[in-house]
Amino acid sequence: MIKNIMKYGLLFAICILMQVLIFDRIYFSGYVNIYFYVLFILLLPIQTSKSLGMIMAFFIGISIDMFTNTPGMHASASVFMAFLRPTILRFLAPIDGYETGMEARLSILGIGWFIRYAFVLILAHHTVLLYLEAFNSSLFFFTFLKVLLSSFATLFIIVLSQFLIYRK
Amino acid sequence: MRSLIQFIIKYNAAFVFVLLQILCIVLIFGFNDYHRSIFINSGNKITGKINDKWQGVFDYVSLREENQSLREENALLNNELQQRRAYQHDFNYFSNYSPFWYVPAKITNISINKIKNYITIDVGTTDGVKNEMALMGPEGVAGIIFRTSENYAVAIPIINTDFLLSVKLAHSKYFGSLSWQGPDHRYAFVSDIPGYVEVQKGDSIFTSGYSAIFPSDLPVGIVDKIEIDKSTSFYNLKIKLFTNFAKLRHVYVIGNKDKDEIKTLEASLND
Repeated sequence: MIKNIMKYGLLFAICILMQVLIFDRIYFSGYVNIYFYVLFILLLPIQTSKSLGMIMAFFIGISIDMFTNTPGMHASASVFMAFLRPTILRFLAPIDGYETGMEARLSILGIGWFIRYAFVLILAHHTVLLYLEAFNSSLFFFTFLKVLLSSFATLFIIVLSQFLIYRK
Repeated sequence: MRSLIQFIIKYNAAFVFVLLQILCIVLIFGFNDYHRSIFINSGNKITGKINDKWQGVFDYVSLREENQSLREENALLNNELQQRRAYQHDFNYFSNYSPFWYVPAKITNISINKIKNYITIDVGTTDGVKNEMALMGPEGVAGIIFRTSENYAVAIPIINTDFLLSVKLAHSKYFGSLSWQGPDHRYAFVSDIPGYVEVQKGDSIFTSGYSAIFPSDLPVGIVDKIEIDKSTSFYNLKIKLFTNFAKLRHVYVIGNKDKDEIKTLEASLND
């Protein structure tokens, strides 16, 4: 338990720092933004209850909001993503179910599983976030393209990070 | 009552979801400007420090480029000074009083890929920086200060959809208003210039100086594309901005000593 709290506390801090110090400063053409911090929500233990997951997502979202001067937007998108997560997990469950204490990691459940799982959730997160940001302006199609391209970019970076960190 | 509690326990996730989302919506839409300023500034005490330290790492990497641009700006300012001196020599009965004063600042955080971008700089109220002061980059106008804390200030750059600035054409002296609709950080738009004015591609755009925030005749950009709105017969000019926000590091805050006096005078008209 304590080990888990330490582990996820560290992951929480790393995700925020990576996001605000590196990925928020990368700029490609205005269409591609990378939101790496959603990795924290993706990697929560599979058995995490829906409510706890959403509360954690709220905290990481609001922390990112503090850095980017966007009160509530990242928090809202993250909570939505954590809300969908258990449903997606149930949908993608292997035939014999998940083992207790299992983590939703690429090295455990395989690359095909991880990409499907991560992409759906990243897409949901980016859709909410970028449309909230573009609210009040007539940028529907621009935002649509931005959601798609950014989702692929985030997915790529997150999958890459899984190979770099958890390699065996 | 008991069945209500059972109901809540059964659907606790849905309740948590709705509660958290209401909280977020209050944060996003419910905040008026005053509350938002508290949010942004309290964040900046911690986040400003972190950004400040991290930016220091990049400052070394871009030192050479930065020096070059500062040298160029120095040369430009020296030239201007010489011209002013000669001018003042000829007409020495002109008062050399200028209400504008400058504070140099360094950018600690900037975003360019959003709809509402912001710039955080490392000067604040202790350096005399107040809200609604002008922010100027080495090449041209950058933005307007809109929140300040003790040691940091947040500015709305041109590349924020809330930004609005009164500008004029170099040739014809006609006024228009500059705004930005996204997504490209290199271009902005000028509207409200009547269609009978002669405009050419490459015309320079300067600040009009009609707002008491910006001094007049600061460079803003050049006309890149000319379109005319058929229904209103006003121009819609696409402007290439002089300020390159992707490379902006050093800026100046411009204060106006007479601003309060002008504001009071103008406010007295409404009484």
